[in-house]
Amino acid sequence: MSARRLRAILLAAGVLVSPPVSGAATIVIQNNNAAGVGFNDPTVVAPVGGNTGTTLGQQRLIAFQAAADKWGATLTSTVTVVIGAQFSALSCTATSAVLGSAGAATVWRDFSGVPVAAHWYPAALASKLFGSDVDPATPDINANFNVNLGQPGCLDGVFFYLGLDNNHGANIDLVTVLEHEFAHGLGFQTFTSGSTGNQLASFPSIWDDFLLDTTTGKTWTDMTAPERQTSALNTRRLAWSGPNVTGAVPTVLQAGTPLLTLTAPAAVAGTYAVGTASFGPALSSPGVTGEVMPVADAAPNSGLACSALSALNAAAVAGKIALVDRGTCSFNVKVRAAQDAGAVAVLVADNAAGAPPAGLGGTDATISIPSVRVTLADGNSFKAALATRSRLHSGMSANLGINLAIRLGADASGRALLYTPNPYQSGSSVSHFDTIAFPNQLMEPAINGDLTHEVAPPQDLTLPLLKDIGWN
Amino acid sequence: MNAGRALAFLIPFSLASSLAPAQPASPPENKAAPAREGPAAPAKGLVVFIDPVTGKIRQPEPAEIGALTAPPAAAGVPAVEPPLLMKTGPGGAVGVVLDSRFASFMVVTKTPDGKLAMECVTGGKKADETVSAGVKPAPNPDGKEAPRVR
Repeated sequence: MSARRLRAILLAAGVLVSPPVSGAATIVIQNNNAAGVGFNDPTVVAPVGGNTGTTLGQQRLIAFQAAADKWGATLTSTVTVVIGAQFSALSCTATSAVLGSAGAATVWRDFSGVPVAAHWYPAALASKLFGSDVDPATPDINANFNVNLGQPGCLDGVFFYLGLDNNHGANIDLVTVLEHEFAHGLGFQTFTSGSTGNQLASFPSIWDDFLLDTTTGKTWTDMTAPERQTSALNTRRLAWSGPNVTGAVPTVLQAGTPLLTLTAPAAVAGTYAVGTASFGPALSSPGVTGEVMPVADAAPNSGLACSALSALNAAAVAGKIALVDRGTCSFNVKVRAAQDAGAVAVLVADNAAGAPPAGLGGTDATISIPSVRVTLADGNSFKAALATRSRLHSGMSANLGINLAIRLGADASGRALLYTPNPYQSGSSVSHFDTIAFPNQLMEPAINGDLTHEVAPPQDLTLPLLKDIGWN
Repeated sequence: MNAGRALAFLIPFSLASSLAPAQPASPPENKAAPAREGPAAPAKGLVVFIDPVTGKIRQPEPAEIGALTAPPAAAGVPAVEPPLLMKTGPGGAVGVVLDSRFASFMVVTKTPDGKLAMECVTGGKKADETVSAGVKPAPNPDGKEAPRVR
C-alpha cells in the first residue's frame, strides 16, 4: 500500500485531523481511539490558546497535529510519516503520573539506499532514505497518552494544556511534551542498551556512530559492550560528533561553563565539573586562582569545617582554595568557617558517589567567597594528590571560575554533550542532551518550563541532530 | 512492500530492564469507555534464532529454544524477556518491531516544594517504577541557572 493510499484511507475513515500544513514532510496522526474516548471524547470545551476544537477530543487531536506539523515543517521527506496515537489510562498517583509515551514502531537496516549498512534506523527515517514506505502496514511511530491526567488520583488538578501558544501556566504543555516524544520516535535515541552495552540484535544504531567518548576517542559503534557500559557513565565526556550539531552549538548554547581547572600536579591536571552554590558570589571569569589546601579536622582524613578552624588548619587555608568534606553541617557553615580563616574559595567534596556534582544549597548573605561541590571520586583523587604536602603548601594549583571558551552543554571542542550521569538513569542516559545545556534544550531528559516550541537553531539543537543521523 | 509478503520471525533479546507489564496499574477512566489498546503483539511467526553475539542465523541450542518457549516465570524468578519480532522488508531489509521496552515515557512528579518535575525514561516498567517512587527531586541538580559572569 502506498503512503498516499494509506493516507486516503485514513482520511476517509475520519481518523485523521484536517490536512496538515504544507511543509517539507507530511506527518499525520492516526486516531486509534474508540468512539467516545480520547481523541473522540465529545465533552464540549471552550477554545483555548489558538486551539479551535470545540470538544475535548478535537482539541487533543489538534494539539497532536500541531506538534506533528512543527516537525513536518522542519524535516524533509517524500514519504508520509504516520503516528499511531491514542489516549488511554496510564499509571498514576495523586502526585505522579505517566504523561505519555512514544517511540519508533519499528527499526530497519540494510534497505536499499541506506547511507550506512548494518545499522538500525527508525522506520520514519528508513522510509525517507528508501524513498518509499518500508512497512506501510505499520505506523512509523506509536504514541499513547494519559486520558486521566488531572482527575482525582492522577496528578490531581494538573491537566494537559491543549492551547497552541505555550501559555500553559501551572498545567503541562502538551505540544512541548509531544514534540519531545515525537523526536524520540523520529530517531533521537539509541536502540543500544546503555546499561548492558548490548546492541539491538547485535547491530549498532545509526545514533551510535555519533556518540564519541572523549576519554577513549572511540565511538559507541567501535566499542565493545563493556566499553559502552563504562562510557554511559563517563559524565560530561560523551559528546555528539555530528557536524550539524557541532556547527550549530555556537549559535545555540551560551558561552561560559563553571569549571575547576587543575594545572598541577600532573597526576590530577585537567578540568573538573562543579556544582555551583546558591549563596556567595557567582563564579566569574577569569575566576579565582590559587593553591588548594585541605582542611583536616576529622578522621579518617576528613575536614568537615563545621566550626572555627584550628590554628593549623587556618594557617593552611589562608589565601588558598580550601578543600572540605560534605557532611554534619550545612554548606554555608563550612564555607563561612573557611572564609573566616582567610580562604579565597572552597571546594566541598561530596560524601556520596554520583556525577555530575549537585549544587550547594542554602542562603547566607555573609559569604563573600565562591564555593562549589566536586564529586566524591574527584575529591578522593584530590586528597590522594594532597597526601604529600607541607603544612602551608601543597603544590596543587587550581582555577575556579567560568571558562568562557566552553559553552554550557558542550565540551572544550565545541561538541554537544549527552546526558551521562552516574549512576546510570535508565532511559534518560545517553539518549538526551546533558542537563547543563543552557538555554534549556527540548531534548534534555527533563522538560523545563521555559522551553519554547522551537526545535531548530538559534533556539534548539534537536533538528541539527536529526539531520546528522540522516534527516537532511 | 506488500504487507502480506512480509516475513516475520522471532529472536530472543536480552535487555537490562525487564518487560513492562501489559496493563499498568491505574485508576479507571472516569468519563469514557476504556480506550482501545494498541495492536496486540503477534503471536505467530516463523521462529528463527539469531545468535546474540554474531547476529547471524544459526541452529539454536536446546536451552535457547527453551528460552523462546519458556512458560511465565514463577513468583520471585526473573521473567524471561519476550523475543523480539523481526520482519523482512523490500530489497532484503531487516526490521525489528519495538515494544514498550524501547518507547520513551514522560513521567511527571510533584516535588516537595510543589513544583512539577518531568523526566523522560525508556520502558514501561521504568516509567511505572518512577511513578510508584512518588515525590522526588527534579533530575537536574544544577538548578538550570545561567551562570552569572563578571
